[in-house]
Amino acid sequence: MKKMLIMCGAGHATSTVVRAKVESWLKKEGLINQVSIKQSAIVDEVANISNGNYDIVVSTTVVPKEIKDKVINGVALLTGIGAGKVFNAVKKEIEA
Amino acid sequence: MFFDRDIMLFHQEAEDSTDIISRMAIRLTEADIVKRDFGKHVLEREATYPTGLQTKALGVAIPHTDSKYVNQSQIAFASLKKPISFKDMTDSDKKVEVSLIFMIAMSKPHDQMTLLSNLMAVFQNENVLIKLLQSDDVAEVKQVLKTNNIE
Repeated sequence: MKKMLIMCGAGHATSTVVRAKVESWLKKEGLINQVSIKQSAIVDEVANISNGNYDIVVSTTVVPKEIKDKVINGVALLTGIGAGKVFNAVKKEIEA
Repeated sequence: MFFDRDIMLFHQEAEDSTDIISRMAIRLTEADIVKRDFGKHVLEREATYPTGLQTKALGVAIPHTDSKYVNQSQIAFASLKKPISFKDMTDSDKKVEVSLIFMIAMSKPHDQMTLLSNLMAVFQNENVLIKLLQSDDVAEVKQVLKTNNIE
């Protein structure tokens, strides 16, 4: 089971939308049972991400430089522009 | 239900993002939809975690803050005469020229997920965004949103 974090600024609005998109995609791909999803606000998660507590992190908000390479930019799932790239990146992490 | 209080500002001429955010927050506060310090917290959040989104058609922004500052779930709508700069949602160094603003006030953290998803889907529809930008009529905007499953 891979641990996925979906986060935004408040942990309410955009992460909720991204979570719904990711969950329906996981179902479609038959991967839903391989991933546990947590939804949260970035302020509560920076330390957890630095410590490597998650296998996959998708963010719709600005992240500090030190964790940038551990985070997938999920804004494409809101705008629809380049959503496929985000799903590919997530898939790569699930299969890693 | 998200737009039933008719908090809409059309073709505004705003100085900057702070100006338009403040105007929208004042309208929400006056209608008692949000608590008095909602606007202040939206501005603070926008500075740290900006909400500008570049879509294919135009720039949109979705300023919001914690649900504890909200009495009733509602979205305020504003269109701008000329676009103003917001910081990009994932990169504060980048700017997005924003023409439409949806200020989201949610009284519960995960309220109305379907509605929010539908709103985001509208951001992918150039024709709808342009219609919203051109309109100056509350009933018309509500009708456009309703046909896209947002109400």
